[in-house]
Amino acid sequence: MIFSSFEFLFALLPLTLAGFHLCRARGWAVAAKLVLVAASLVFYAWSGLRFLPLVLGSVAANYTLGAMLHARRGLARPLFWVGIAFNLGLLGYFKYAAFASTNIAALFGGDGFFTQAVILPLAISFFTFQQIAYLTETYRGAPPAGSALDYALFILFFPHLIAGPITHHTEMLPQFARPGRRFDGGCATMGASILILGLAKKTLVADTLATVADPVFAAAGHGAIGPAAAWTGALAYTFQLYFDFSGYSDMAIGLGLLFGIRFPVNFASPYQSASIIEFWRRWHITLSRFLRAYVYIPLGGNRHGPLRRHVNLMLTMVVGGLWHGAGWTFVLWGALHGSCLVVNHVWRGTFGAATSRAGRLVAWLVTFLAVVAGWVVFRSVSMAAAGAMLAAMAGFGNGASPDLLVSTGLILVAAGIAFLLPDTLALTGYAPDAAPRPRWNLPPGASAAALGVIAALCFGRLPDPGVFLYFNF
Amino acid sequence: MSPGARLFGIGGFTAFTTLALLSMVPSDRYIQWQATRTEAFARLGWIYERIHFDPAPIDVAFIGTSHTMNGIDGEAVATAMGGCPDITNLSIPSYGRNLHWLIARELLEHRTVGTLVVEVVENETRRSHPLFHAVARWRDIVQAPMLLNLRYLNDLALLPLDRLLLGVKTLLPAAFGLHRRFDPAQYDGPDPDNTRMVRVHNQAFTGPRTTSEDPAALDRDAWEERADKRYNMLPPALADLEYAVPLHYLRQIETLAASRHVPLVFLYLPSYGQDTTPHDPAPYAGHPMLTVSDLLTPHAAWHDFAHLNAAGAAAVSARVGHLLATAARLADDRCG
Repeated sequence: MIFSSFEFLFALLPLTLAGFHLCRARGWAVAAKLVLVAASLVFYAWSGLRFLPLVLGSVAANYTLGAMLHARRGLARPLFWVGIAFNLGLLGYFKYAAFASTNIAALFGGDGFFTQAVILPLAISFFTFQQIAYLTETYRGAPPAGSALDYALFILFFPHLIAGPITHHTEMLPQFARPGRRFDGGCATMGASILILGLAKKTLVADTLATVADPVFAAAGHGAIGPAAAWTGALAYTFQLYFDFSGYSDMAIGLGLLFGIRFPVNFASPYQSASIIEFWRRWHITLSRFLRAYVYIPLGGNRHGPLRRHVNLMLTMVVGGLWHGAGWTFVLWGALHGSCLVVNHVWRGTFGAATSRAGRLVAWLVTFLAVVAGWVVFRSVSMAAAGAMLAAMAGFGNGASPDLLVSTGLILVAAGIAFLLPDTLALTGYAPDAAPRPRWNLPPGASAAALGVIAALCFGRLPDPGVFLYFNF
Repeated sequence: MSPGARLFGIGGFTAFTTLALLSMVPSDRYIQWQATRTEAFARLGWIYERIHFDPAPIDVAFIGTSHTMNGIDGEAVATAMGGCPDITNLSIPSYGRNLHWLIARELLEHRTVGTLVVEVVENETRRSHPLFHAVARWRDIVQAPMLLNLRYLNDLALLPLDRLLLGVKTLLPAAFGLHRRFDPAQYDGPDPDNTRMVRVHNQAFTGPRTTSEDPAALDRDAWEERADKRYNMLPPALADLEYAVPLHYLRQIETLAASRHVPLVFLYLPSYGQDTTPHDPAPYAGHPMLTVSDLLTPHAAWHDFAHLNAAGAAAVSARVGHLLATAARLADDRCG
């Protein structure tokens, strides 16, 4: 099930809200949590029951391991590595085995060791990373989840289940443990506002940009692409991905607030960044947080000199690329960003960060172009297609020019929003660690009316809900 | 009322008002029919042009799905009928009686038609046509039967944005590759042939339809279709409800044709390997039903499981022409 669908917005969501708040108001905390878990399972299994046992089994196994890690400290180390092996094994089997097999066969001949067709379970990358973080912290001595129900809710809670934000149990478990009884009107108002704005980003902006980007990347797959088309497609996808993913994160945050739950911020106007270092503090913030805490720092971080630091950065970004998908384009994308980070750190160490207006403008432009080039690789169906797109963008392509008027207009509108406006959460005054008090930039009534107009426009796109891009990861 | 509830009320009222106002944005009908440019649905624009801008008579009009679009060659029908009748094939891919109704209404309200031939397949489809919302007027969508119309809410939800986009396209047609004035240079003629390839304004939407599907694949697809077919998913007490929507539109077509004194004929054109007559013939009672079952049996006639190839279409079209001519002579004899 997806957020931008009739069955979610007009059936599952209102029923779950009613059930949860009724139970909560009566002090039936366990019942309220069970309502959320049940709704989350319906949400996950809507497109098929096939992987429900897998996610439930993963939750049960990790909860049990976490409890044992806490109770049996003498066995903590082997239990921890069993847990890591279990989670990475699941991820490896479903996501990477076929890729590894194909490449080994390409190198050494033969049919490969893995020939069966495997369907990637929805959300496996997200719930695996969350549980790896949970096991790691429990191994380090943090208290485990207070109950199996709270833990299940932490992993399965539907607003973040499929495509994040990648939450940390330390920020979520306390909220689930004490859901409270009082209905917070401020939460509801802010949650509805963020939900509508996120829905607009996805249905009105991202899905429209997809109609520009998709044909271009499809053509690049056949090699027939000209410079104008390549730039149009690359820029359209750059903004499509941002509005799609940040829109989803906004919806998750908005939905969480409707239940009194606060999720971490995942995007903070990343395309306004003046460096790649800054970009990764604003783009998919929860993934960056995870990679820093559980890959970069365990590798040694910056504690062993600049050369080792750069190697660690590179490795971390390659892991980040691979997390997105089992393909050489994702590996290359990660490596490109790793390289850019290394260059950025070296530059900053040598020349310092840009401080003048002109310098920051140049820095912003260089950063943005590097990000666009990375997205071309990220989106392309193959390395050859990525090469064709990048070559065309450099002026070496041949192909028909698209109708630029509408495409350019769409891209300019998207760029204007991304570059010049504050993002949704800044606009509404959301802060994950503070009580939600909506900040109205217009009089409240006018803001409500504006949101009503936006909601009406989104309503028209619900019958043809596009897929959220990050569902693929 | 709490402040939060008041704000939700303002938001809800504004949303509803916006939806209502958007649904009434004016647009040009010609633009509306041209706007769908994907796949063979691009023929919709040509249908509007044939009806409104081409003065060539319409002696026989065919309306159906891709079965008829690919299966009827107007020239072959005309040759078999003799006397140079003007044949026009107004069929569009995908199932959905409501779109047939829209096409029939556009045709019969604006042109004089000799005979209207409407396609029939094994059973009426329960589905609403996916492009009904694209060419319907807002009243058609709002007043569509609700039971059991699984796309009613979808079509209603699409109405506001559809109208907004159509309004924009009406103001800036060139930006979308559309035109408000009929251009004879871009017109595909009174009866373009869709049996060999579907081309719209020199853009091919299908490959050549001159090949035959593998016989084993045809037989397998036919067997699977028959095995999966469920003529009734609801209990007998609700059987009337199950097909209420397509039958509503069939009756609308029938009523309009009768009011315009246009003879209505049905053409049974199922997929390969299906029954030789419709599962339920009752909806078609009172009107001739043309059947060409013997011509649908050979594997060599089929491009794929659901569509005849050019050779199959030529044979079927010639037979349909003879049958229509015979029916016309019988009618003349009765009248004579």
